[in-house]
Amino acid sequence: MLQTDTLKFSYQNKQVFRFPDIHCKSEETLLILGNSGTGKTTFLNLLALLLNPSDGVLNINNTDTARLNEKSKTDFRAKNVGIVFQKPYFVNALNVSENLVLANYLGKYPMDKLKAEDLAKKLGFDHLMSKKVQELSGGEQQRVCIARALMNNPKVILADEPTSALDDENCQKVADLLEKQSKSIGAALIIVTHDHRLKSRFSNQITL
Amino acid sequence: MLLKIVWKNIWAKKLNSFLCILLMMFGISIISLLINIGNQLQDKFSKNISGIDMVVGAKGSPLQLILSGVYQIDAPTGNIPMSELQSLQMNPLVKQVLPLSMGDNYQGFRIVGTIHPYLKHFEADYAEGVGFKTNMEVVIGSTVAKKLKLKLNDSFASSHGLEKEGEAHGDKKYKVVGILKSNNSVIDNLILCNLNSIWEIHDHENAEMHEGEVHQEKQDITCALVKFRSPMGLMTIPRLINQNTQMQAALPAIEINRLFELMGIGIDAFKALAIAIMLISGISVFVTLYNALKERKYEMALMLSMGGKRLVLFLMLMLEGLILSISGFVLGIILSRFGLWLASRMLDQNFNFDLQQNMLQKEEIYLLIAALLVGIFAALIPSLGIYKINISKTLAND
Repeated sequence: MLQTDTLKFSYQNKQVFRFPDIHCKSEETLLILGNSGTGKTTFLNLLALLLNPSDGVLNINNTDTARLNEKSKTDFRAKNVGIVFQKPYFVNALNVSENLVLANYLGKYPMDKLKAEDLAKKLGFDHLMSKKVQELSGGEQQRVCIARALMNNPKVILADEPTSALDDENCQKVADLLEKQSKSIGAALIIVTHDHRLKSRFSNQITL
Repeated sequence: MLLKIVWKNIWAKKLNSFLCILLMMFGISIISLLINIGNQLQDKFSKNISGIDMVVGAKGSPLQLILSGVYQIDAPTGNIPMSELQSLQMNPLVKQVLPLSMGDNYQGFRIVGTIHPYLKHFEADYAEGVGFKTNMEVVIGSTVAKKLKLKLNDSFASSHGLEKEGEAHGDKKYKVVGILKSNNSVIDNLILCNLNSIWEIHDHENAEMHEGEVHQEKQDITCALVKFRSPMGLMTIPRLINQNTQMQAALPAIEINRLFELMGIGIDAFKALAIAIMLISGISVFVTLYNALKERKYEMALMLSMGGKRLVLFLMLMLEGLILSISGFVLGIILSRFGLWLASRMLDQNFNFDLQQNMLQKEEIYLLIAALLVGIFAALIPSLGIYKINISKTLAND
């Protein structure tokens, strides 16, 4: 579902990152480990098409992403990549339910309220759907972010440090949820983290 | 969905949005009110002036003579003997002389003694009845009929002076023989009769009640409106009158221009103030949106990462600014109509002069465009910030 080949990226200050080749099939989970400063987030941004590599090949869903122009890249990302950011970002003017269907809207899908409710039930926040996002606890916000990443049935789910702010119990819960939900929609799951608690949980690992 | 975001964002910043709208509202309403009142005054003033080249009356302020003689709003300057007009009427340059005699009122509406050509001059048309023929018959303007609920064949006694509280001429009663259609000129507010009616009432009064006073020249009038045959009259006659007679000649065109010039200074000051208020509103929209974008940088980046187009988000922010300025405009126009209504009521009570509630004036369309421009410019710079957002940097802010 997602492969890379000699992916490289350089910032303006000529610091060059070389990333290992990765290969992640549907319903598989890949853990990318690394300490701060090793380019974890840069790598994730490359995979999420938020940054453009200076060299190398990135294939997602059998599409060579280098061939996409900026505009179609945005659409491609909206349809094929679900991102769980390190911090729970929302559109604060909208409530939980609206934040979920916003993913449909921006991905140019019909807004699917039923799916949003279904995911909310599975992730255990269906009683919070009409609340403002700021009123939720950190853990609840995290789960809403996961649900939002699933709204468009993407082929790849990218999670950036999804557990760094959580305690042990919730860490396991979130990891379970991510894996289970990705599998249920047949998506490849890639988690970028330095959280050692996840090391033992996922066998498929790469260290930067 | 985006409209919902726009709406909720405006709503989330109630106080800021309220301030923007309030400032815009006041700016717009002041300008609109000035435009409306200015236009209507000018319209009324110039309509009543049309065709009248000169006003003659007793010596005094020329502006006062015009205001009392043509517009029936100020007190008259005094009386002049009818005989003085004879020579004026003989002058070949003079086309028409319309004598007016005032001094009495009924319930605050002036009773004016005149001749039929005065009605013809204002193109008066009868809604009911006919013109006055004999003494003590009156024709009333439409406003008078409406306000006092007078009908044909009703009769009433006048009171002395131009205020409601004058002493009454109880023994002689006027009878309504005609009611005029409204024609938006000064005669809407007048009660018209022949000159003899006025003289008769006052002769009687003089004889009966003020016996000690010296009996005055019998046939006095207050003033006369004069039309010339050619512009030559305008050049020579006013000077002749002012130098050689006890009368004064005033030219309405000149006096009214002077009046508007005096008012113009005040109006310009108000306009400058209103424009300043509108600009402040623009700045307030700018600050609100600029701060909002700084706070919402993350959610903008988030929406971009989820497939939102920069152009769409740009338009979304622009729309926020535009909604604020347009609602300010709409509320401003509503407020100005309300102000117009208040002003009209006030003028009506004091001067029997009312203002119309108009549809949008041409100038108000320009005002709308100005409000839109203020909104657009104020929103433009903050909205352009959308194009500077670096998605990956913003979201990976650790």
